[in-house]
Amino acid sequence: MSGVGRSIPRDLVIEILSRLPVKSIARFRCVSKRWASTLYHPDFTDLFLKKSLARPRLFFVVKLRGKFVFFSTPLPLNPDQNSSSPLVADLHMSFSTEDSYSGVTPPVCGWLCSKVKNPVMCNPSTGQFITLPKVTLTGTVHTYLGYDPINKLFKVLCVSEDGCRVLTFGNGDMSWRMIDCPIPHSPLRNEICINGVLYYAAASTVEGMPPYLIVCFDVRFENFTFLVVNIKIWNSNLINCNGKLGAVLPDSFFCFTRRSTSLQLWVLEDVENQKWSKHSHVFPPLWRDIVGELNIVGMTGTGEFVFAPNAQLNPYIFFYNVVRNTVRRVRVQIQLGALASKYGKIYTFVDHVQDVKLMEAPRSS
Amino acid sequence: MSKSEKKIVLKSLDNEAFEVEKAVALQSQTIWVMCEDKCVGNEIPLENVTGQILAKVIDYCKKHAVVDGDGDESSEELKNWDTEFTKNMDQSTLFNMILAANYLNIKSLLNLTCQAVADKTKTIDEFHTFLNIENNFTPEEEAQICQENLWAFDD
Repeated sequence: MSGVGRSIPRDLVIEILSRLPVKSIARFRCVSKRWASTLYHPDFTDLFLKKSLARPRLFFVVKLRGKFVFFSTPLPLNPDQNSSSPLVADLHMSFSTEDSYSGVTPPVCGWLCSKVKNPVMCNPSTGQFITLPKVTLTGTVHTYLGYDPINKLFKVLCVSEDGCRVLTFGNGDMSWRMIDCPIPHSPLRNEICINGVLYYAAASTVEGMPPYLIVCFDVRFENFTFLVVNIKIWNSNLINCNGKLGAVLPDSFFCFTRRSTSLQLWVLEDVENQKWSKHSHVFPPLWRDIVGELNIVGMTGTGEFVFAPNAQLNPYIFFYNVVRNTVRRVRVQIQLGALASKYGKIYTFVDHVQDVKLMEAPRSS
Repeated sequence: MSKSEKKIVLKSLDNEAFEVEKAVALQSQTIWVMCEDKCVGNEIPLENVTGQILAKVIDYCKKHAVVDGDGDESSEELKNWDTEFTKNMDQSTLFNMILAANYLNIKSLLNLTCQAVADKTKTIDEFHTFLNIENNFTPEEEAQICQENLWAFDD
């Protein structure tokens, strides 16, 4: 048999290729014109994204001095699996930044954005990065990344005391637009984009107004809704609870340790009427086996809370299943090689998807 | 139901006949539709599949069939069986299995065999043999496209 190219129909070849790891796809794009055009074709990239959505990954951002390095590994889905052998995370790309205090946004639909005045959008699955125009805002600028699933467009939102700017990424025309923000606010850490809505905690800077806010930014229509919340929700970590906004707080202090006994969860049930449901989950005895200080990093599609430390190079990731009342742990190996001595912090994210589409470079304006 | 009604005969391209339980054969959507339409008798000719490949497909379907409450295999064990099943197949057998799974419309087998080929295609050389292709970039084009994908070559 001489080559599958001739004997297997194209749609089956695409089926096979859509199961390759992203690194192989990048390599095979260099093989021939015909295969480069197949591997850049929307038929292929759309199928790959669809498959990736069904198999989310854990994503790790390792912060070194002046540099970020990205890793990912499939989310271990088998609830009975306790790690015997560690998961080796795949290295994606590294990303230099002049501003050593800057951070990156959580990955949103395969992309992430650096939080500087010249934000850089990058896709760890293709290695592509695109520098956005400079934001003309004074003061401290907070940068957020959102995705509008209806129009399949990314938007970068920048907020400062000076106002709000928005940029659409992915339709070729990249320029900052001024948008109205009815309540001036000072944003905090802790953002998440769920189904086309970007949420983040903020403090209102209007006198006489309750200070604790959760800001909801509709990515498609570019408008804001403000939820007035209590200080507990405001201090929580925001997570995606199967499509709804969840706010998780440890029972004491700001992180989870082996001494924690329970977890408080608020779920935003109704945005319009600002209705939250409150849940309290008491940890099983197995919780006492956890080590160190853990942050909640999200929830899996099967309803497990995911916890990760932020200062361990080869972290243990903990999965707490409320229904089964179990805790399991999986060790992840992050191979930094020579850079290992320089690492500072590791940020862990759930629900990372891999998009191998190449974004059109922006038209210069 | 009499015994003969529960059995079905599948006939390969090279005229090899296989008698199998209906529940085994009906994992193929194609055969299921043929049986529903009653357009065939008890013998189903499969014009696209050789006997050698059909025998393997039947092995797979037998393992995955739930016959009279007999399907209590743990998912872990089935997974291991699947891995063993494709492990020693050469590329040409795997491609023929993919074509057969596609023609017979057996989703899980198509998944398994496509994944097996993907797992065996790691290097550019393997990709070349897989697709039997030649590099037709000009040196300039090759330099540019490799620059774009440079990150994937750094280990």
